[in-house]
Amino acid sequence: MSRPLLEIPRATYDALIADLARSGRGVKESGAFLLGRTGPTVRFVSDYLMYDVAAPVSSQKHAYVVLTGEEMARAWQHCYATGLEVVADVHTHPMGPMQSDTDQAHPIVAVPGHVALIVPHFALRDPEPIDLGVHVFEGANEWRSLLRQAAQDAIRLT
Amino acid sequence: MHKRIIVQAAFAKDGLIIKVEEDLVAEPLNAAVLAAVPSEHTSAELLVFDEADDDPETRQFAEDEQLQHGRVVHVTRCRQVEVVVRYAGRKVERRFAPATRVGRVKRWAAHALGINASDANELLLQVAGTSIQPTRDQHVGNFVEHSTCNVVFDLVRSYTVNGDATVSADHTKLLEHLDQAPFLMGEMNGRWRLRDISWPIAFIDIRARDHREYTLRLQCDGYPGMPTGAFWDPESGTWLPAHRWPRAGARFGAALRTDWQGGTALYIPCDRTSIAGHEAWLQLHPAWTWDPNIGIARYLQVVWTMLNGEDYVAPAA
Repeated sequence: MSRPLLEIPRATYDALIADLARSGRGVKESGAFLLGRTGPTVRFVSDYLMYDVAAPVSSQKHAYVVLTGEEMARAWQHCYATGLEVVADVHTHPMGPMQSDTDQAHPIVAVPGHVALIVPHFALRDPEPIDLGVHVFEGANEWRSLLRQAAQDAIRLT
Repeated sequence: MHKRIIVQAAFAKDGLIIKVEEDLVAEPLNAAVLAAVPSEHTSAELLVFDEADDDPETRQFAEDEQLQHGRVVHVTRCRQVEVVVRYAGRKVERRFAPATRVGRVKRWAAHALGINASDANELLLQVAGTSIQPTRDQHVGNFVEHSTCNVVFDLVRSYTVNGDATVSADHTKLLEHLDQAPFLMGEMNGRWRLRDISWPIAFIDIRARDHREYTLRLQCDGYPGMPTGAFWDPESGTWLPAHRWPRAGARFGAALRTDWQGGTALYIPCDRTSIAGHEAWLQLHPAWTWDPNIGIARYLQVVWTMLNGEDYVAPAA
């Protein structure tokens, strides 16, 4: 078993999955910035900011995730106000947890080590970490993907 | 002979063009620049900086700047600008000469934040709290906050897209219809709700007159062509057995017959399997025929109508 990359309180994880499902309603993709602090080896998630809150206009206009520069800056302002970092991001897919070409080309945070989670089936099927895609940005447009048992090992629910 | 000089300043973010004598340099040149400052912005504290007198410590972050003395100058009262760049909850800070180009500041910030140079290509600086995204040739001193020598930038991507673009056209069309008024009105009014999609299958719960919910399993490949399907038991993951089907009276004839296609297709005109060989239904029951513009809500409306009529009968089980 490998070392976890992300640590998320179970209650936060459950609330996040419910909010993703609510936001997408099974018909569109939804997402969130995962906020917290970065430790030496583990990223600790303590809160999240839904895209439909940070980017209400884009979320209404598109069936997939879009963030304009202004909307992204609004999220950075939220981080500044709360003292939290974006330690990971999450978005849903209609089907599987693998990254699309646009996911790979557009890291939400382009710092190596950033973690992008993908929740399949619009987060409608009570997904557990084993169902998610855990994609680690390695810089220079390179990613490392963890699936199934590796995804479960990468996310520790506390 | 005259030459043209570009003056940048907080009051001239896009640059002010002035003409001066060709051979003017140093103090006489600065005096000519200050003399061209609009009267509402003049002050005894104003200083002139030539952008070619750049800071050697940040020169490594310059990119094709082609600096040349006596061509672009900056007017300000700030000898240094305190720059903060915020990115995803992290921030980096540094002092810059006011005539430093924003492109250089961005490259420094990306480096300081640990962002690979190739990944930084699509990032840009945006003045915090505004929608101003300076160009790479503008001076950092143009963006100091009022009566300070400070500027805060957010490092952002101008446009970020995440999502699965590999979704097929028929799947996309179904998702589009599920987000439109005919379906949403039924959902808001409690007539039905989307349970799940496991493409090409959509599972939708329909509420009957007695508030029981029946799950429809609809196969939607080829959408907005007709779907086909019938009642489903989500607990067991199998077609709903005949004894648990609802019944309708004479008004809907045999629409809810359980012996048709082994209970895998409703015997109605908007079902793909059932309309085959029953084209006469198109004239007999025009209100129940498929309309690709309305889409899945038409199928659901037909089923909901059967389950909410006076002659609806709940299964005994």
